[in-house]
Amino acid sequence: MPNGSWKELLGSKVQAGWAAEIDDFELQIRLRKAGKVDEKVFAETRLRRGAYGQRYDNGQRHDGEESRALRYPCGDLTKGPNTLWDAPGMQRIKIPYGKMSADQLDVLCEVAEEYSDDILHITTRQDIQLHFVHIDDTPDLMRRLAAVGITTREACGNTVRNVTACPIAGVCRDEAFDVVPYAHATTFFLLGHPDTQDFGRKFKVAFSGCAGHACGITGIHDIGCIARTRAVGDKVERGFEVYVGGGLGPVPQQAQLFSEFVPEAELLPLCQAISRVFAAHGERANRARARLKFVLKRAGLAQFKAWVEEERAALTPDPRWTAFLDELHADRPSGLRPPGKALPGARDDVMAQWLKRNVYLQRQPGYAVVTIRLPLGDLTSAQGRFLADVARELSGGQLVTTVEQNLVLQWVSLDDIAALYERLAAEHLAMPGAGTIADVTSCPGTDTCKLGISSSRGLAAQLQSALAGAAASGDAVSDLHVKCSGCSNSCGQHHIADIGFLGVSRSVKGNRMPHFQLVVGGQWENNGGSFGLAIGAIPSKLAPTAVKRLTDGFRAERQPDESFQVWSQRIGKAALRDRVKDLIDAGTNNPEPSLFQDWGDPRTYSIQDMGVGECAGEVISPLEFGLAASEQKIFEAQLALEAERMDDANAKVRAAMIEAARAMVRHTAPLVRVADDAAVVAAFRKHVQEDERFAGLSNRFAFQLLRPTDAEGTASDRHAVHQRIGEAQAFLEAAYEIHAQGAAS
Amino acid sequence: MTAIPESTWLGERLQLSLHSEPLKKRRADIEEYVAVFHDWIRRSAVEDGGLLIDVASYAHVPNGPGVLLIGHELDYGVRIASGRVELTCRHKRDPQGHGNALQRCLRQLLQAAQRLESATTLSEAPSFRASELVFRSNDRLRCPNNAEVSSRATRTVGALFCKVLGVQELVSASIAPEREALTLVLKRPVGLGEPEELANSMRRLASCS
Repeated sequence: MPNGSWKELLGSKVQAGWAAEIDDFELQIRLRKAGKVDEKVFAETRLRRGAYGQRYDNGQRHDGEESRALRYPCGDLTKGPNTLWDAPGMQRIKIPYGKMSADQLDVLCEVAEEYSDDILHITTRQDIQLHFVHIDDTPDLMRRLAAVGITTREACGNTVRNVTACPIAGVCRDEAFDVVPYAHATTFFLLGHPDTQDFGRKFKVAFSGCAGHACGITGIHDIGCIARTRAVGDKVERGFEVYVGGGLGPVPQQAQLFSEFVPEAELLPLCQAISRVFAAHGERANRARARLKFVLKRAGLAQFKAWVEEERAALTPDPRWTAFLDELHADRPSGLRPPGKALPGARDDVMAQWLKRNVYLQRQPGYAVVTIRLPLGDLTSAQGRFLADVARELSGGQLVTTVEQNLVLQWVSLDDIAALYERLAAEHLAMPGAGTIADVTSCPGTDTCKLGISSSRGLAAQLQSALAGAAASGDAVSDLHVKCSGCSNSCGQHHIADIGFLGVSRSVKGNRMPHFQLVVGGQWENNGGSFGLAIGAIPSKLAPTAVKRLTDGFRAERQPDESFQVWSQRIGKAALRDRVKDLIDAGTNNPEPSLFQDWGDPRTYSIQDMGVGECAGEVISPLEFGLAASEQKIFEAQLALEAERMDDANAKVRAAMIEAARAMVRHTAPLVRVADDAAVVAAFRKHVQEDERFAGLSNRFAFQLLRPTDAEGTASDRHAVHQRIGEAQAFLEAAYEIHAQGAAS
Repeated sequence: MTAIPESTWLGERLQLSLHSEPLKKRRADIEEYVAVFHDWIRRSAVEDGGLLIDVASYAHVPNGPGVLLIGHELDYGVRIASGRVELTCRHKRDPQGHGNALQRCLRQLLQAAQRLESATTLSEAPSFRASELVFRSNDRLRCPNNAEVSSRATRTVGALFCKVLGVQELVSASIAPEREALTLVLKRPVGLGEPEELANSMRRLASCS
């Protein structure tokens, strides 16, 4: 019978660096429980591991009658400001460019069963999220994922988030070339890179194989890369049309063209240089204006480019910039089964719809991409295991998540399509209508998100059912896109939908009523080409009626080949508003009692459950992180001392002070780069110890750091080691005073 | 007869499911249970079950977990399959040190079943008989799904169920392949006549403590 722990069981299956990171995180958990780590620092630490807060984690819940305390056993222990330790949270799991192996999906299913609620939720950024996860379970959850090559590092917080890309990259008929190797290289180049650790806000990167489709939605990203080629002599050179500063949220901003062609070898250094500019010029104090788009807004594109070019010129060449180019053509995916001859005939109308909407012919003859449409992006562990088996058997063991919250299988032989349909149908996974008006996407909204104002998932579920007929009609309405966000942070990407919904609330006769702001005329195509316009706020329960009126109007009044976007512009905002004005007014004119409830929730609506968002994480300076790391090493030194491991304790003491000194150097002299410990000591002497601002602390900085590391400077008896730990603690406290001075100023 | 093995080796992460008698309505509405669970939270209706936190509806997921009542120590789930209500109680952790997760989970399951039987807001309240129980371990470290562990778990779980159901033996089967979580189905033999009401099982369970 196996005993022990996942850490022991998995052992060498987890790559060393990742294992150490997870061990560190586990230690941070212990330290936080012991009160040795500040709650804000711990919050950003866990966010950077993808462990996010969830609704009601402040210990308050409105039950429809009144707000009541949720008395978690942890008492006052928190895992962040107003975030109780025992409150269940969300674990975000990065799936770079959405691609995962069947083996990885198997483990995702296992951890969903054991630590969550049996549901894997696919997000609008190709991540997978698990809900209702206890923070104490996260280290083992992360180890099990790491053992199959998945890291949750930097899934949340002020970091580079999941790098997204077309789910049909590599098999698309219209792409310039397969962007997956570039997305992969960018993911792991930026992951943990020193130049991406000091952002004031999150940072998003996307790749698209072409300009016309929406698969990568590069227009709404901080860096959006569209594959391009150009002829150089008799050769074809690969590169990217690069856009910068896009983003949604309360103030949506279209990305601006940075360069029409960035050669492939320049991709990573450009990303690095832009990261540096963001770190240097991004807002810190006002989180609402801290995304890259505001840097561009303030400085202008020309100045931004100048900064990037300056940083690019200053970069030290890194072999990783081009190393991946040597492997571009190695082991690219291909068909597991022989190519088929043709798509099968449909046995009924439903299968005909499925063949039309869920099956895409690859550019490689005889193969197709099959989309598994998932309601609201949810699938069960059992369904996940089934799909993993199907992928192993039919599509080379790979699956891809999409920003439309579905899953795709590439490289399915046309000869296998009919049998695959039957197997999917038997598991309730052959829902037709992928990419149609009924394939509504949604953020978690009030279901689990602390910031949710209205039930975006509740509305999306309602619309999926209500629009099934429209999706099957095959007319122009069936091609529309509907997207729902629970609040203005726009995780549901409502701005780029034909019909979008944004959760808001209104006060009606002293009570709150859930509403959705109706946003019309956004463009999903052309990589999220333009944003819609708000028409008016409609009570949640009447939102489906508004959709019906708009789609009926479009169907009846549309001119040949006219898109919804053009139609809505032709009709005009005022006229569109007139068509739903009675719905807008219904909230105020003798409203029905049912309007005071939201979709899928029988409680009387309230906004008292809203909490403080963790979307961007706490803004924790590198100094604070460095000091927290130093504190952790001092703690480890104490453990080593207890275990009579004197050499280890000495090493940890020194490492703790080096860590703190490095953080102080970076704080006082941000442009100074220190390569090794000796350089840290030298820089510390020059920029900290001799800085008159810190004169009052200099005696406390004169401890061990300046002593040699040879035997003479190494304590061997218990008392001496104990003393050195005390000195390191004093050193650290002095560093905290520098941090406090900075905070005060 | 072998001694009843101590069930604590199973750990804290486990779940038990119970099916209702066939519903009369052909299309029961699973969404009705959302309001029932919200009401349980409002009234703190679950005794000794720890903190209740929220309701999660996965009614939109075909073959999904249905509607869940999320707690700190235990979750409850209801779904409708093949014309019956399937009630699941999932034991997650034991911060109060109750000590016997299997027994506690069974007690909470039976209590929840009784509570649903008397839920007046349901258009058709389900009726339960403890004639078949499904056990699943949610701890692959402690209970990997292999023949040895399955056999031991069958003995452990079966011994408790025999006592609670007032029978000498059960028909049991391990129903999940090895890659899946260890899952056992334990049935009351058909030849023993009609199964009793839940109240009798509850009384026997109380005497086990």
